[in-house]
Amino acid sequence: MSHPVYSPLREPLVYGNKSLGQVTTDVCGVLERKPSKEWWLGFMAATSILGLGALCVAYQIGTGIGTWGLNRTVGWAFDITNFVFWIGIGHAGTLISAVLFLLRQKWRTSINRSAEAMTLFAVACAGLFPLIHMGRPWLGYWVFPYPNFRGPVWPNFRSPLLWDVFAISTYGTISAVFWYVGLIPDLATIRDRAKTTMRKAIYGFLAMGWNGSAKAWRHYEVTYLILAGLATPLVFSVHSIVSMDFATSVIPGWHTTIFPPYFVAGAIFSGFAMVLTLLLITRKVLHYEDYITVDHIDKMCKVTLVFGSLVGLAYGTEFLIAWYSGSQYEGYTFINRATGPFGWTYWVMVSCNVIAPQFFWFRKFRRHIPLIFVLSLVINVGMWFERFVIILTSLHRDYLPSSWSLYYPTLIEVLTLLGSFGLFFTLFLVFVRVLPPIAFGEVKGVMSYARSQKHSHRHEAAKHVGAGAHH
Amino acid sequence: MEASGHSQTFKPTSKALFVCFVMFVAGMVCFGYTLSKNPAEAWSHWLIGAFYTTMMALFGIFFCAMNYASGAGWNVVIRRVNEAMASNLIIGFLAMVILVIGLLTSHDKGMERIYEWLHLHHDHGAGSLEHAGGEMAAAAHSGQSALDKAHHELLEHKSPWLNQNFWIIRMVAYFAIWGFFAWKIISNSRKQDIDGDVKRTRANVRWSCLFIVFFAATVCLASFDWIMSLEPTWFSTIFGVYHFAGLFAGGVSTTIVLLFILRRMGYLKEVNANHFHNLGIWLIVTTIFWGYIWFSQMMLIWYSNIPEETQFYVFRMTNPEWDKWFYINLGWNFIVPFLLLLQQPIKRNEKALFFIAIWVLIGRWIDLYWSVGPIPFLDHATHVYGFSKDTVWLSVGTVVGFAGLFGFVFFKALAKAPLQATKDPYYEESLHHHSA
Repeated sequence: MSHPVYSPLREPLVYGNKSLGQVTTDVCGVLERKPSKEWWLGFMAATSILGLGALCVAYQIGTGIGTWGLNRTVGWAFDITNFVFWIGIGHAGTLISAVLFLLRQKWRTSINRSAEAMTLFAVACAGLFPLIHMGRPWLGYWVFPYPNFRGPVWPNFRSPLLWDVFAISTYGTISAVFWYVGLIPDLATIRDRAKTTMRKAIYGFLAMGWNGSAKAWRHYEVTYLILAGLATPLVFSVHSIVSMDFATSVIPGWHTTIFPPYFVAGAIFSGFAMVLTLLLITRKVLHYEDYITVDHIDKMCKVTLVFGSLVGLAYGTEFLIAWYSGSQYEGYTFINRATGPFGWTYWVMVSCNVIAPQFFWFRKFRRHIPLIFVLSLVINVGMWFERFVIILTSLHRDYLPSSWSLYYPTLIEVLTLLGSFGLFFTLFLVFVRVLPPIAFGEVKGVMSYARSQKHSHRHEAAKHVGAGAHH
Repeated sequence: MEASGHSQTFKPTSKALFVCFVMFVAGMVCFGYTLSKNPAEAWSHWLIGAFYTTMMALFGIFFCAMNYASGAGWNVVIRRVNEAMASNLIIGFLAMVILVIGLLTSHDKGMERIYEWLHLHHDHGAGSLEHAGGEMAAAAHSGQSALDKAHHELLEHKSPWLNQNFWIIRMVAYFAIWGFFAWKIISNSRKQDIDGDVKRTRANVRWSCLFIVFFAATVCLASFDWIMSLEPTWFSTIFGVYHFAGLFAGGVSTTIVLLFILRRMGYLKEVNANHFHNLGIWLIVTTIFWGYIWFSQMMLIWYSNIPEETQFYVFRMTNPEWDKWFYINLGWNFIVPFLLLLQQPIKRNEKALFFIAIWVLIGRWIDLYWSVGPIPFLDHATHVYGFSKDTVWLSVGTVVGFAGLFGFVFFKALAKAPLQATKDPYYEESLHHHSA
């Protein structure tokens, strides 16, 4: 029994009875044409926002971080919220590329490339915020422990902030290597299709002499499996350690044992929402509806629902135990979270993260593209607010009522966050122009999935739906 | 290749049932002996057995539901084993009911240390000196009575949640929910044996999704109610996740052990190395997950060093009788199975996997024993460990008794339906499943 047997309930992963050659043309064609008008519009918008953000960063570094809305009670707020938000976004990419690979989820092949790219760009955005917070980013390398001439000045190894440095730099490195290794066969195809010498030289250099021999594929597959194995624990460790930035403290609302898995669940949740946001646009603009199919969207909505509900369970558990603990500080922090001056942020968080994804219980809504797009944005907003709620509401009412204070971000802070979105979208837009957004080498491996005579009528129907969306 | 239209039916051999029966009797002898010696110790052992049984039964239905919900196909050839495991929910329920009766009817002083808050209403308003561990409290000096007063106030604060009636109502509700979904999903699966209607699979996907929602919440709450509340002043939000991890690792191991035994008896020839490979993957995944959750709880409590939280660990890491279990627990449940299961050949080798599964099942007892074992000897207000020692082998014996009962009910339940769900739309896929 060498050829796999599929249940009649299985659907093919790629629509439209494509030939292998057609897959290459469909994906590579986008890179070989001149950019479309929509692309230029998006690119100009993204770079303008990025430029604005860059100006803000220059201003706040020139003036000092006194340009932020922080005060003695609320010493941490907007900047760290953005940092955790972006780190979280990155998680879906690694989950899709590594964890789903190890779990042999073949549907990942159409979406893993762009999700991984998104991870790298999100990590890049996240890294900006601690760097800006340093005030003197040119001394940023001081976070690394190395023998130095500053006297016995070492980073504090007991601080979770230093663990972050290791966790995130490891995560960024492995993600980049994993992504790049996955790209090599596809880069070689682009090289072989190149019409100009320049293009051939650049992609040839990047393809590292890939010749597509059986030996090369064998090495490739082993490397890929090992990297997936290495990347998987990182999905969990990075956000667990980010959660420890808070949970190792003794601040009510920050210190609770559920934080590591709860943060990981939240990260995957927000990451999937961002993957949905990006891919819904990408598939439409680049006409990838036969590859990133409604079935893919449907599955991603299910994952989003699961993780959204897990996050909801964690909210509930925290609330119950805050009361159960009998600690008046814990209890007050949570009552204040829901009813205090920033209570509205709490309810934004609950509505966006717990209530909004409940639409995905229904197949109809999991296939309703405009609704999913809106919900993915709503979840992104909700997950930003989740971090804001955790950080701000736990701080702003100090133990001493005389120290109580409020916090509002300044325009500079808001524009810096906006600027990070500019960076994120700029990078993503460049990515879809220069590298294949779909791992077509891998997609070819799943073309036969669940395809049989029995299915042919279904392909036609699916093709029809896919084609309908083009016009 | 077409599916063979009919499937084998399991018939338990009298030898198998006899072995289960002997285990059960041996366990009850251990329990009875302990009961005559120290009732609190006996009931703490009983609680370990009851909780363990409940979690393994619950895994049976959870694993079916998880695979329905995620559209997995590979597990169809082993699903009847998981379905039959779920029949033990009734044993879990009866064991918990007997525990409640035992707790409420005993007049032994030491018994007040098990679910200390359960006895709160006896001396409501009578002052703080008479609560659990009365003898010790009666001899208290003023420093201790202040501690007792604070302790008593804390129990009063928690009494809306931790009180006899609500606790029992919740317990019945958990079992009712689990039992209802298990009945729905399993009966749909069996009806499909007759009509082969694909709608039954679709219905089960819906029931499974709904079940998982309730399952997630009730497993957390049940572990708070039955284990965490043994030390009523202690709390940890991750506690439910910790026991979910244990449920999963233990449940996969139970499945492996039962498959191995059934195949030795000549059944389930459809199951091959590919199915074992998947179970092996689940076992290493859940082993790592358990280790991760163990570390998260331990590290955060250790690092922050807040007395309300550290009470759980300080005692267990410093008491000369219990400290070794702290290290044994981590080594046994994480380090050893993790290193062994990294090997692909081991995951595909039925026999090797069987021995690791037995190892993990012993590990589940260690984990529960380490949590529950000290309770009968612990004064919860002062954290003074007192006057007697637990007898390890009696706890092992009691759990063996539960294992025998579990096996007995499992074999009986398995005989009630064909061993293979041959008309499941994923059956063919499962037969030809290729892992790796």
